[in-house]
Amino acid sequence: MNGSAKYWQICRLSLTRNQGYELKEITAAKDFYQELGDVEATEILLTFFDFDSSLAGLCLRCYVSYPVLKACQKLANLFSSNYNFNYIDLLPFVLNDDGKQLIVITKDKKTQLIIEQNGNTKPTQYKLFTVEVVASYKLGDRSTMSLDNWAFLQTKQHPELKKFLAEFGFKHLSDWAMLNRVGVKQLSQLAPSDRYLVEVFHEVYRRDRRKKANRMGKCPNPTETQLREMQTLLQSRNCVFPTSDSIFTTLKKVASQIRQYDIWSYREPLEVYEPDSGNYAVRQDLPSDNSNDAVTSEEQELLNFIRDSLNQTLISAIAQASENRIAKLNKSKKYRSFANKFVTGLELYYAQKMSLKEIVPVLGFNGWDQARRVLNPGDFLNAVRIQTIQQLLDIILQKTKELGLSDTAIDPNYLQNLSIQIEAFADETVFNTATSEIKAGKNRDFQSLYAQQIRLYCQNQPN
Amino acid sequence: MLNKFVSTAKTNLTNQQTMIDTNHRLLLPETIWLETEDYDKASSISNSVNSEAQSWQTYLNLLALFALETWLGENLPQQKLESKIDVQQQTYYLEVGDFTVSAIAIENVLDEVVFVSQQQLQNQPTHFYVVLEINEEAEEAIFRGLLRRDLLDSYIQQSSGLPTVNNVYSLPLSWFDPEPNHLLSYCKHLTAKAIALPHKTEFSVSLPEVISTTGTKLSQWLQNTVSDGWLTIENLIDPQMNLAFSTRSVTQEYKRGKIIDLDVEFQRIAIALLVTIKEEEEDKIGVNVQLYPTNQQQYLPPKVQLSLLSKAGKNLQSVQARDKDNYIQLKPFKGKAGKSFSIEIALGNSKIREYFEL
Repeated sequence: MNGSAKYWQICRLSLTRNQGYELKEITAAKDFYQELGDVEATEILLTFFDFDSSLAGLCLRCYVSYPVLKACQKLANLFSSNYNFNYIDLLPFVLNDDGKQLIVITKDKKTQLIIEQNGNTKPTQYKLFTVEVVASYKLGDRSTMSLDNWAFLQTKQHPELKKFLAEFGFKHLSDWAMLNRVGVKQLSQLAPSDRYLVEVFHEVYRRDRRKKANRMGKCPNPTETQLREMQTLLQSRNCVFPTSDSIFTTLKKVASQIRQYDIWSYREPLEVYEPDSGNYAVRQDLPSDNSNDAVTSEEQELLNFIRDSLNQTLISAIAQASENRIAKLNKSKKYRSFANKFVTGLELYYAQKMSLKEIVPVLGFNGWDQARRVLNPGDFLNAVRIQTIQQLLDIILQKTKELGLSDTAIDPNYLQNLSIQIEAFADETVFNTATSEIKAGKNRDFQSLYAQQIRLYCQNQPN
Repeated sequence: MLNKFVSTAKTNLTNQQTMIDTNHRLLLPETIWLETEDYDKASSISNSVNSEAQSWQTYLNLLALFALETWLGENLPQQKLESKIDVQQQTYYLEVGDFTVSAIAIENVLDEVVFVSQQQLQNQPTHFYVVLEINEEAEEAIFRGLLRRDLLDSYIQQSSGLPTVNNVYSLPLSWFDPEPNHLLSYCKHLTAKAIALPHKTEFSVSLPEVISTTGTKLSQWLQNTVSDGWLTIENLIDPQMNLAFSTRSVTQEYKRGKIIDLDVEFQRIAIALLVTIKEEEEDKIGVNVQLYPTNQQQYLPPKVQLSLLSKAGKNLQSVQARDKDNYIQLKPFKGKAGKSFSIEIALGNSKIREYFEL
């Protein structure tokens, strides 16, 4: 989102959009904001809100709704989200503000009050998360942390959302894989007896996992022999477990404990102490998460140059990525037999709108895992995207060279920036909508340029 | 029009540290499948490591390296690709054409921190560092970030308070570029010398913090053990060094010195850091820190600053040399054995920090 629109566009839940949210313009907020002028807007709005200006509050609610959405996307990403949930599942916990009500808060900042038509106030039935974020952003925090960062932190700490993450965040991991990945930092947060237990588990279970001939796939329950070995090792640390069963049960208990998000998100502060203010501040020297705001009109004009190349590039990138995928399958012992079914799989997904699960029996996969490995539409989209962007980059660099515009030796920062601009352009034009289509879940509808090109490609392949 | 395009990309250079909005990578990170052969190779190589904790990490490091090798092989089919593995030195990297790429394996990124040992950075500097999340059970590696060595060095030098535990850096994940495409762009279109690598032998000059963060254990001096780089006063008063201070020996005191090289505007200025410790009551150790000129200089360079920093990097006290100071010193302080602190010497843009433990 660019410029001042963030103060009057609210990001709210949408059941009809693939992406799960929509940006809605709030007229009251827009009118209020435009009367203000936009100097140091956040500061001024916060002060007004402190003095019960519900319209200033509305602008701020719009403002924080976007970082809240970003926080959900980031959290889902950090959890390797393509397994059990995606960011859309997180949105209902925190995007519960549609921007329709005018709200003020009581002086103790605990109760949110709706302003009714007649000017009276009454407590809200449930708390709007945006209002909570704004209300809890205290004066002391304001010098050390931006409202954006505050919104991000508050989203991460949302109790319902954390409960959801504890349940679904690690669902794809067995208890034993969960215990395997416990590192020094997580160990330090466990009670000493649990810590010994996990250390001993590592000694025995990790060793066997690494060395066993059949070392891949789901981690099996520890065997009786392994449990006995752990029991002996624990004894030498003065930790007595009466039976190997009791070790098993305690391990399961610890495993369920460490599914809590807090255990994993904990980290040493990356802040520094500021003697002047007496506060800990996020270090200024660290690159912050601020996104490059929308491309300027000048850049937009320049990007037109590659617009013409894009469609042709996309077509050849799809062909290239598909050939690469088929070649890779042909080389793999496990998946060779599916190489000649790859294009059919794409067609079933993008033309027949079948889910991977539905494709399993049609193409003779032995299960969803196998189908995902061969056909994962997200993986294929990434491969096409890489091909597209690399080809566009080649075209641009070739052109600039021909015209003598670039030096012979290219600077890495320049190259990175150029790549970023090309990606931003290609994502906006092609890949963003294509990605939302995949993420949409049931009742997918494939209307994007990308999906159209895939269908064309499939039609033109000899069966 | 193209001219403008190129110049736009160039003007953005100043925003180098601004994080990139990689919405796409938030939604669809790059996933690399791990194959049976990767597991087999990783298992047999990691068996040569003794402790199980280390073996497991080695195992994961190797899986990360093989995943990266697969991915680069698929995406840069024209480039020569070779993996370099030295389990004892804990170096794992790939040669891609003229470039070198290190793989850093982690098992989760929920704390948004990447751990990298200083040893790894020193022993084998590479052009790129790629963070891969290894999902051992699901047989996949997820591309989490890419960092160029030149940027890494500049970030580290700017970040004096970077948390370090047991010589392992905690680097913020936000330093890493989440777009794997850029690795391909670099390898295809740059020459290797476009990305400056520190020379292994000159490491202390280009990255002084790294070498010195190992920490000097002062209480050992009481047993007459001297750490590397520290000289007894007898050794320090080498006629060639021409130290301009006198030794007034006091019983029960242990005085050690170290020559510090500051790089100020391409000129190397040598200064002597002197630390005197003595046993105090209640098992405490008293410390006195002084800074002296060397090389027949009578005075310290004006404005050179000596500071005491807490373990967390908080400035506890500072003193700065005036125009004609023969030496400067911090107010003597004391602490219990085990307590950590650091001393920073700064002049102009040059800063050197020495870490100590009592």
